[in-house]
Amino acid sequence: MANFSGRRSARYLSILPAFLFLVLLSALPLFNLLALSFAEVSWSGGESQWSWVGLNNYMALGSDALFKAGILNTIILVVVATTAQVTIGLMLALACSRVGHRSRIYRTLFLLPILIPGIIIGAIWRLMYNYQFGVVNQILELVGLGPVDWLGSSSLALMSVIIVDIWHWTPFSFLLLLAAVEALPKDVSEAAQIDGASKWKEFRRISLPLLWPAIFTTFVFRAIIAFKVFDEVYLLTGGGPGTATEVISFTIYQRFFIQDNPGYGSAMSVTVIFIIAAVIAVAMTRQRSRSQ
Amino acid sequence: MSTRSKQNLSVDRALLGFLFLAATLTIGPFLWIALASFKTQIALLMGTVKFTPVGMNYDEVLFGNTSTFARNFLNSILVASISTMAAMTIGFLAGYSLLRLRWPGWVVNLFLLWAVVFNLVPPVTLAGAWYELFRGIGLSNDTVALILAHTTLHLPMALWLLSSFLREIPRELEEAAFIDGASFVKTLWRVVIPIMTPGLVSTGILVFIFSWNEFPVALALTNNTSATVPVGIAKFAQENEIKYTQMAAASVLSAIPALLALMFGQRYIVKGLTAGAVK
Repeated sequence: MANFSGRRSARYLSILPAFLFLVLLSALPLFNLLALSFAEVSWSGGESQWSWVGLNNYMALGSDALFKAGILNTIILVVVATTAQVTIGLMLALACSRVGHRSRIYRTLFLLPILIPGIIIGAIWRLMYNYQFGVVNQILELVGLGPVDWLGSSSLALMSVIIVDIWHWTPFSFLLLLAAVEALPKDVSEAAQIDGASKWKEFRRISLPLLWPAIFTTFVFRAIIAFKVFDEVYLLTGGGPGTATEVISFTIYQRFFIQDNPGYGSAMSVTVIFIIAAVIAVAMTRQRSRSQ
Repeated sequence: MSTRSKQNLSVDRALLGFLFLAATLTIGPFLWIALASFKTQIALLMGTVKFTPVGMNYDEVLFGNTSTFARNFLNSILVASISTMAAMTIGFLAGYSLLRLRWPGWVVNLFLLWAVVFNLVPPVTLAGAWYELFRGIGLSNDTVALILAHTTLHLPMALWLLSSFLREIPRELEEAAFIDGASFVKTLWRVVIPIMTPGLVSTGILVFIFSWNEFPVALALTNNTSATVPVGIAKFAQENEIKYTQMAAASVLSAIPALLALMFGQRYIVKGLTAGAVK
């Protein structure tokens, strides 16, 4: 392997660009974010002035109604939407694998929402939910139900956003779970059928345990993406009415860019990153102890 | 036996019905918005079912004096293609280096940890951090800033996917090329890249689409002249009098890359999406 050692420069050069991006554009800004969270920024003559305020920004989070609403709404959205997506996605995957030969068409159709910009999904549903001319109310009218103010009513708005998220991302869960369903060993279920096990029993006792790791992975994957929800909310409701659909990414965005309060926005960002890390760590340890 | 197979047949029918319903619900909204894009504002507001299709919405969106959409479209093509090429090149080199060039375990783990942690962080938090950084070095509202940000944003994904595809290539091929005296670059170019083409296409399509679709970072780092398509579309909704039908036309136009990818690269997209999640 003399040739390998002669390529030391290639070894360093090949990793250098990635290393630079890691340090300069992700580690450095994140450290900056951490530092900012202990400061208050003021502007004088085009120059930013940092003054250290200790833990003040973090203390203020506790009494911030928008932050609380943002966290709560995001958690509701993540739990409800992700559970629905994994459940419906699994049902679709099982159905699709059963009718095998036609699965390709469905797979193609279900890919579409995954590839469309989130902001377009928001635009489409904003039009469809429209009180006067939206197709959702038009269909309700056909069956004699009155127009519903999907996005303007504070009791319905979050549910309307969740419906859009379910519509948007169920195909992704379907795709991941279909791969797992298609990898199930055929002979085991055949053996169970010959032994006279009912379909449901076979599913509960054989398929489901085998699918469990894939279901868990899909759930975690979806939950991570759902927690970042921003695009659809931005166009659908803008966080309103009131704080009904305030999600945490939206709260952070407003502190940073609308109110121009980077210190406080940073403290919020850092807190959210810690919350996510903690949740993932707990989920991972529980999954590990479960599989042992 | 015959009752059993009859039962199976009706179960199959029910399953097909369920799939058909799901497919209709998935496609319906896209068809509705496509129809809306050919209506006049009045026809849409009246909820007319029968209407004469008009092309004026597209005309206005693409060539109208006040419309910035054509510019947004060019910006998006520029940002998505350059950042995709950058993320792929950097990710490929790093992935190859980490897998094949005997880095100590902690270096490999550092990069893997970065890729995982980076995906947990909401882009909005990074948008704030980047905004401060780029303002500090005089790149605020510049396309270069957005290209750098998008490259950073999608580099972990490119690294992760390309590594998983690289792992499937037998090492012996490269070693044979090394022994034959091929240079490092030549080995990559002539041996590794040709075998990896499907994996590269998968990664490339996904990174391009993700960059094209990305909204919060683009919103934070651009102004009127450097705005991308999603930012342009978001603006429709903020005007006093929303031009719904033009918003629909712009939405249809912005779905072009997704539709092209679906038509020509469906196989690769499935491969990339499942490889990214499962491995």
